[in-house]
Amino acid sequence: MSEFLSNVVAWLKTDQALAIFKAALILLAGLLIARLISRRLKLRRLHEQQSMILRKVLVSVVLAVAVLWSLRELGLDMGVLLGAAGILTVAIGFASQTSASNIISGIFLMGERPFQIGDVVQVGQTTGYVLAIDFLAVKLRTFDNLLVRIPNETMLKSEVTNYTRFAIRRVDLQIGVAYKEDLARVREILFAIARRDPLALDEPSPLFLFKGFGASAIEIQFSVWSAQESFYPLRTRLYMDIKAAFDAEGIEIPFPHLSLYTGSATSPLPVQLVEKAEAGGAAQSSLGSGPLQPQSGV
Amino acid sequence: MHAGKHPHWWGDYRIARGTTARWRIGPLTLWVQRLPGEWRMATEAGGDPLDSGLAFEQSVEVDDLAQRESTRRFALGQDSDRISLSARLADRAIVTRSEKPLSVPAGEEVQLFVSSPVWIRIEAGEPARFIDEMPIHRPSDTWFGPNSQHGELCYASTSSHRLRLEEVPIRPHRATTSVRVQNRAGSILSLDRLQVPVERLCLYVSKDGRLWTDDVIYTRREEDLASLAMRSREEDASGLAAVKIAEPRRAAGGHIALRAFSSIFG
Repeated sequence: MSEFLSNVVAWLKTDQALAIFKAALILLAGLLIARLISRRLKLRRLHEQQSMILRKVLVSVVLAVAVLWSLRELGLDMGVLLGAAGILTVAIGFASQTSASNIISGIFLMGERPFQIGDVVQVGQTTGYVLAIDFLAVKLRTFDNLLVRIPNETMLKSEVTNYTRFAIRRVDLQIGVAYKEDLARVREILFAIARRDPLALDEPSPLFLFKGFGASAIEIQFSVWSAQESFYPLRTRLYMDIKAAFDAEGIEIPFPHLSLYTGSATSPLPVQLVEKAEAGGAAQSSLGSGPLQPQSGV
Repeated sequence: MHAGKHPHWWGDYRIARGTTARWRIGPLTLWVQRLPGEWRMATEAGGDPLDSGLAFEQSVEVDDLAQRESTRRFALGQDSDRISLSARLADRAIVTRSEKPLSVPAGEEVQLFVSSPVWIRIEAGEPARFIDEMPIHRPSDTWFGPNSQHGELCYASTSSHRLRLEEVPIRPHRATTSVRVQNRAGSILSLDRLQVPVERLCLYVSKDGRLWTDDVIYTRREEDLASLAMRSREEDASGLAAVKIAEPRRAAGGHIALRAFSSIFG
């Protein structure tokens, strides 16, 4: 046992042990600095996502320098290592064109900043909160709590709608009223509803747009501005208030109508009435003793 | 209003355990119930916004307070009977409109009176703990800015620009602001809309019971620049001096601010 200890002590005094100790110390210092950067670095002038990218780049650089320095202390020839790394990089570069494309797209996205972490965006059919903007992909949390990862290249090529960029939004309500209704009265009721609701912005003023004579109704668009965070509560509340006000005022919201013609615009559709079957007869029919008679026919 | 101390709705109140107090302040009715270790509060805000009524009942019979949709519960460890109501100005700027635009020729100045809604801040227990805050009458939201992209979310005031103080009624839930507009530019100033940064103003009460804010002075110097200054009502020399009852919600950031003309006058 004492011989083993004396061997260990002797080994600790060698240059090799000193080099390993120095390498470990450098690696440890690198790790500590990287951890410090990762946890503490936050520049006020930068956005959250820019700070995150800066942190990741600095951590990678510090770790790379620490590893290379440690290897150098261990006596490895850096020239050979870097040369090998260069060849490896070219090989990896050819093999990972998609990743490279995503990284470059990510850099463009970060420079352009069409959205930030926390914004609500729509990409294709997906709408959700932006959770992270990384080198390779953007991560969204949809309203039904799913994580969607969209590659940066796709983000750059797609149409992206940011719902939360501006402080106010317009609620566009599509309304149909019957042809017999007085549109001036309808307009007055709609404006009164918007005036009563504190979430409906006073300015910009609401808009009443006549959209056209529809198949079953006169089509109207009533547009009301709201604060961005009040958009969904206001939209629901306005539709409910409009339904209640129209019911109270006797204004008809028509369902789709279908008019049948027999080929000539002037001739009425022929209608033939058939006498009602007697109660006893109907009972008899239900017993299966005779065919059922229709009550009316066309 | 309470215990014969003063005729205002704000101040300290004592609520006995197991009882419910009721305040009616203009369009708002507020119920506060004290239970062991718990305060319950309910509101009804659908009254007439022009109502100036003021009433307080120390103990009222309420059966369904817990069933009301507006009821909130607050747990307080210290069993104290103290509840405190205080008045605050709005948490955003107010935008006032003229029924007809008022024109101020170059070199002229005008004093306007506008009114804005007041909020109630409620604290309970010993030591006092903040429990809630609400507008006595919730004003409508509005946008103040050159377009839908640039601007500020404000409250719309239903009051218009009055030139005479007598035209602004004294209401327990509205504060009056004296706005002096000085047109030092070379062209006529048409006052259609005006932004009053009430969140940066102090609140006062004068002897006649009117709630006041700091005075606001706008000076239009060039076509696109205007300066904004605030003056304390405590120093008013016109006989309408008032006592301060609330500090501003946001620091004024210097007494005088130079702002873009369009950010003050709509």
